[in-house]
Amino acid sequence: MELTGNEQRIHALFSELKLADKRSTPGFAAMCNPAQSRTATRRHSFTFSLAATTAAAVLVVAIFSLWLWSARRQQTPAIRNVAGAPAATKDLPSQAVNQPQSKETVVREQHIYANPKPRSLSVAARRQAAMLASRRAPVRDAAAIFGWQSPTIALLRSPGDEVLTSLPQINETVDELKSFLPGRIN
Amino acid sequence: MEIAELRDELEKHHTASFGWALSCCRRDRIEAEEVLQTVYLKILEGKARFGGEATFRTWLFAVIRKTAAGEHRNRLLRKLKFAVSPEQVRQTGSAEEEPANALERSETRLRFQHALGRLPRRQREVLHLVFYEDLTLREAGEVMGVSIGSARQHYERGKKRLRKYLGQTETDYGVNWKRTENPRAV
Repeated sequence: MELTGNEQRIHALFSELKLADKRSTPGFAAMCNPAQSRTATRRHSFTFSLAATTAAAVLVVAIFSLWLWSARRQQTPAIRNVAGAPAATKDLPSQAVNQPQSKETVVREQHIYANPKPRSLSVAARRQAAMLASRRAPVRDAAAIFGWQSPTIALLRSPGDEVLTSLPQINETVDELKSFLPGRIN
Repeated sequence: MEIAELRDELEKHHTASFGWALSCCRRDRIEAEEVLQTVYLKILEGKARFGGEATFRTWLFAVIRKTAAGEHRNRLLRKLKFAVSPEQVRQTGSAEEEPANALERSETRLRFQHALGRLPRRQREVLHLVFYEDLTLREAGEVMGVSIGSARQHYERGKKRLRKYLGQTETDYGVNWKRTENPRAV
């Protein structure tokens, strides 16, 4: 490109400017190294942020697991209560409690409920407990039926009830047996 | 292109790149340094890749121009969003001060710079690329992302306007600007 007078003048001015800029230009290393260190810093910060994110995720999972565990732990006594209902019937007469429970079942039950670690109550164990509870339902019903008392039973009681309901025993003395003889007034 | 090769190329064009960055940042030295660092970072990180369609210098200048425009836009947004902090005020003050210090020895250069600053962006850019960086109009068009015809128009208008501004300032200073137009130029 051929330069005219004006263009030459402009070119000269630009050249002067260029010369001044050249004198004040910072070194390449001074510009490039901070740029590279910025890259390293960014990478470092990225690594740090990745680590922080991972830690936060692990923390969230841990909190969730803890919450889940505590919720299950709260549920476990409820299962115990359902499964361990016959334990409340120990005050009932022995006929009601002595239902057909195999020895193995009792041992297994004792094993399950005597376990001090509720966490170890796996799904299988919980299923087993539910099964045992369902098996014990008829026993519970029978005990309830046996223990039922009429609300008007008090009206049927009389002072001679003992004589009417009792029977002579073999090991009773003669005097005692005489009380059962007819025509004798006690 | 490997990183070592890229570094060599960047180092080779460092002075010209800084001059171009200065022009793109309206002679703000600090902003130009930041832009150039960002550009180096982009290139070394591989965010800006040289495809080989143009010369390395043309491509580098285009990257600098785009980055400077982006940075300028971000600065404007930051200024709109937040109040200017004292640190920013200090930095801006020093940036305004520095060119004055650097150019106080040359009144002509100062006047030229002032006239250049009054030009529209595209006209200033094309004049800088042609006169300062010694690029052809085609290369200047490639850097600016415009056609050669458009680049030529900006060039002609820029020259005319610069002459006018320089004439005004030199008249103000009591110097006459001799107009010798060559119609066969460019």
